[in-house]
Amino acid sequence: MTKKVLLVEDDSDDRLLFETFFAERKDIFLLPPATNGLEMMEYLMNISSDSELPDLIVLDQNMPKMNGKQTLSFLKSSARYAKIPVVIYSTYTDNTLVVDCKKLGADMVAVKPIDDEGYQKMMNDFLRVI
Amino acid sequence: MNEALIASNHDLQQFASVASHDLQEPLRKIQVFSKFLKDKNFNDLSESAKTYIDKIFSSSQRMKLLIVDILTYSKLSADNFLVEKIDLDEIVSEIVDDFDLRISEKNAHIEVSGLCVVEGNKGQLRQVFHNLVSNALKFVSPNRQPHITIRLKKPDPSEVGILPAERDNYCQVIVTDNGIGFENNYSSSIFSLFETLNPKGAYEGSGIGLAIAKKIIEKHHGFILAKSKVDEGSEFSVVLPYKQSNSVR
Repeated sequence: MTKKVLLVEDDSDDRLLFETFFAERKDIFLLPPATNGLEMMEYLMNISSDSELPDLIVLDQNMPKMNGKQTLSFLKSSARYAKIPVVIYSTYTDNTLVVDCKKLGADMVAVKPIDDEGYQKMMNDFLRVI
Repeated sequence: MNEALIASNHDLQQFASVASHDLQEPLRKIQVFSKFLKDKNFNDLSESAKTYIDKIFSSSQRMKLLIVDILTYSKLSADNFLVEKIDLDEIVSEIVDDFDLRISEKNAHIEVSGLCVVEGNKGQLRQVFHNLVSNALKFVSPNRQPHITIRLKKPDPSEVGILPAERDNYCQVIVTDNGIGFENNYSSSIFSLFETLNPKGAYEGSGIGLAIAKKIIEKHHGFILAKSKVDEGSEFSVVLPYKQSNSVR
């Protein structure tokens, strides 16, 4: 079944890469991306039926206003959204980020890939947490 | 230590860490879009354009390597590290496993004989031997089969710079290779940051690996020494105290 994936990403190049690399995948449907955590909150609140909620949320770590970790802890503390699997991806990760995100309830922490092959593999890994 | 000095040291570490982190984002874009051009538009490109894109991509890969290494190096000063009993045999055999692919590619032969157990930080000591083995596999002339030995030696006080009375407090691990070697007058400068003796492209490296190794060994109150003969091989000695006192460098 097609999974609804919501990307939260402030960088327009990275949003474009998501669309480009995943345009032909039939197993996912990309919801209109949010450019930061606040925008994501607004988007989710406007969804009236729970069945329309995303199946997976992909959060960039470095974002203005609300970064990935902050957005993650908002999601996990909300009764309505806590069950949605969340993954964090970032240009660089270190042990601290991985440990912190896991503690907050992230299903996976990934490094941003640099090519098509890397993106496809990352998405395959992401879909396995759903 | 003077407070101003501590503060300025802290600033420097912050700088190295932030700079390296923030440098990675634009760098990744260069990697992504040059790869993109190569993968998606390859047939539209002229031969020279293909070459230029390859050069952009390989330079950005190299810069990535540099940034990651600088980050590792700057983190070493910051960490207050955990000390435990470390079986060097175990660490070295894990590293040999990690290099499995490169070892079989180069048909290399690695001999490890009974090392020792010391107190230290596992991740950091692992890094030291990783860097030494990586160098030993890397700096070999292409027509030679790499032969690396890692063994224990009773430290010779006059050679390694310890007091004769302290001799039993240290263990010395020697990593020997049959690589391209270097002239002995470089035997201390090779441990400096960004010091590389070979032209770029001939042997890939950031010039940070041995600086990292030295910094780690010094944090462990030990010594690292090198000697070599051009075209015959190098010998790196890691001298470590069996026990770490509570003082942190």
